[in-house]
Amino acid sequence: MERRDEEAPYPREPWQRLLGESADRPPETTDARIRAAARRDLVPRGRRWWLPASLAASFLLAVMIVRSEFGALQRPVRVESDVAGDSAIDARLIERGAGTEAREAGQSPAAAAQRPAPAPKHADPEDYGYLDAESGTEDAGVGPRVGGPEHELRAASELPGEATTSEDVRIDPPTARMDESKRAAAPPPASEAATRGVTDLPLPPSPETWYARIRKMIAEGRRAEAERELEALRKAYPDWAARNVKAADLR
Amino acid sequence: MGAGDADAQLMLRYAAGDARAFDELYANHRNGLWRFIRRSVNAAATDDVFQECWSRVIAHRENYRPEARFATWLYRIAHNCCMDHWRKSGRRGMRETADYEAVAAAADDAGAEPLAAALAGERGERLAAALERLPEEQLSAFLLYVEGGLSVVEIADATGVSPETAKSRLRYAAAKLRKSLGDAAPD
Repeated sequence: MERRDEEAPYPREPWQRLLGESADRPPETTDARIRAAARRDLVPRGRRWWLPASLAASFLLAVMIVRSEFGALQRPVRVESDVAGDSAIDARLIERGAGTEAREAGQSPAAAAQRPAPAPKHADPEDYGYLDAESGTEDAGVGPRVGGPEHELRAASELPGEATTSEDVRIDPPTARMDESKRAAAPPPASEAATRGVTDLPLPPSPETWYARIRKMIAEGRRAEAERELEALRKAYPDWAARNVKAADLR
Repeated sequence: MGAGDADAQLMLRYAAGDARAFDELYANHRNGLWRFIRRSVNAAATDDVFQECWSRVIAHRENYRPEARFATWLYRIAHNCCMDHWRKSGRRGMRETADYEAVAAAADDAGAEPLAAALAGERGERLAAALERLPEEQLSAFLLYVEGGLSVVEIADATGVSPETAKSRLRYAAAKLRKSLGDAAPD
């Protein structure tokens, strides 16, 4: 202190006494506030961050739980197709939204799966139910597509045991367990006939053979039958029929 | 140098977590620091600047190094707080010429003799008026020297001027105060 005051211009003590005479001092409330702040600041820093950190962790956990619950509802649901045989389990993924659209309002998914597909108007052997070009359209993906040229190609490349027809998918399980002989004897339902026509029925005969058979019917006097066959021929081969079917041949 | 300072040891103890060390430190400097700030800024701002100063002491306790005396560190912080206040208020506010609060407080002090209180009040009023007339630089240097106990070199360091300039400001301040106070001025 003495060394520091060597260069002091004048002694500070008399001035300190003069200024110290003033009764000016901080209010007690200020004293209490500063002392409290000093104590509050001594709380270990680790205890200051654990509360906000734990709150943040809880919030994050809640968000993850909610996301996992609702995220599961939006994921594709893996379902098993109805069983036609013990080894014929065909698991496929369908979008829940697509499944909802496919069934009627208020109908359960199980009931929708058991509902038979609507039968086509004509079980014509050449009618695949849709054009090949439709498979690229937006509504082509709703519901399982069966039949068509590409289906035939796939069926040809598969082993007989591997082939899964729409019949396997749509048939009721009890019906699937029915005896094969009974099934063969029973008349096939319309939907089954439609789908069977795609895969099992033979190809239509050539127009020449078909037309010769019609002419034979006419010659034998089976006129009504011949007219039905002729109508079918015209539908199957309209161009050929326009060129070759002559009214004189049908008299 | 500062390590042997008792206040520096208290500050180190407080930084280590001893709250009672702060109480002792605060008791040692509360009146002097309050007067320093009270003379530097206006009455309305004194409390805010005083609390801001101690808040900085508390916040920077872990950065404190006893390389200098604690009082030097404390009053440098106080000087910076006053400078910040002056910058915000545009100028060193209107300090009260008459220290009426001090006079009233002295008169209300039951332990004080009435005549002594009156004399103290009168001297305090004259001192406040004399300090009011000092330029800011001289006032800061004078208060750092008297209230803070800083040396010329420490004042120069705290105010950012050369020691010669600091010593010159101290001389001018004392001369003006003696002239204003007359007989009441110390020798």
